Amino acid sequence: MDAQKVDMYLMSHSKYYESHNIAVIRDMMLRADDNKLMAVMAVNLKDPTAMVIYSVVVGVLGIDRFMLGDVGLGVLKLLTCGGLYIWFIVDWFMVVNRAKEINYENLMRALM
Amino acid sequence: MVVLRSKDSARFYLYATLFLLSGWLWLLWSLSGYQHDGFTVCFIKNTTGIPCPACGSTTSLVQIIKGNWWIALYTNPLGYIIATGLVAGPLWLVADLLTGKSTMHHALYRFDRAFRRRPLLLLVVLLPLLFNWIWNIMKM
Repeated sequence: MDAQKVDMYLMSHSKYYESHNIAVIRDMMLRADDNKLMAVMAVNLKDPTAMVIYSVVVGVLGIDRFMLGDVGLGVLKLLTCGGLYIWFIVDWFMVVNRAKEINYENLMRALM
Repeated sequence: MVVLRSKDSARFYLYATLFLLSGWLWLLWSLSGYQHDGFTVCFIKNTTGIPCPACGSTTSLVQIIKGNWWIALYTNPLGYIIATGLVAGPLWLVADLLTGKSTMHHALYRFDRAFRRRPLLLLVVLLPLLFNWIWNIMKM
């Protein structure tokens, strides 16, 4: 992929990924074919900031986990009243990293 | 079989142990005669007055242990699912610990992956929970 396009993508999407993954993403994108750009742009990225809001507002029902695709954990969270409210609070801080981790996994899948 | 990172597996088993331990401690405390007199641990019920989908599951668990199975089913059927998890969970953890495998982590991974591939499957899980929630509200 063209370096300019990759850098533009990273500048506008850096908040969706963990900072330590940016170098790996850049390297992978530079090595990928140009026709992968559409697949990369079509990746469904979870907004970490929005996920925190979901986690605070409806996290006790496990909806944040359902949205991230962690259905098993979502059901567990729902059945246990947000893990007796402990897990519910812990997730306010963990959901950002989890969202970025899932974004990274989805991007890697698109680049493969 | 998908290879999960050992660091992720270790973290998963730590959280699973803490989760099951807190569940058992909560149940034992409830069995010791805790009465909530209208004010419950449920934030949703305390603030809105409407029970959450899991409201009544502790009472249901206590009734299961006392042998009042029909009362438990009427209070909240989810109590049976939680009871199964509280019994099977620690056994599964011990089995994984003894064999050195991470079958529980893999099972959860496969469960999540099935729903990511077929999102309509979510309805199979969420619809019964929704009906149970409506029933929970109607029982008030």
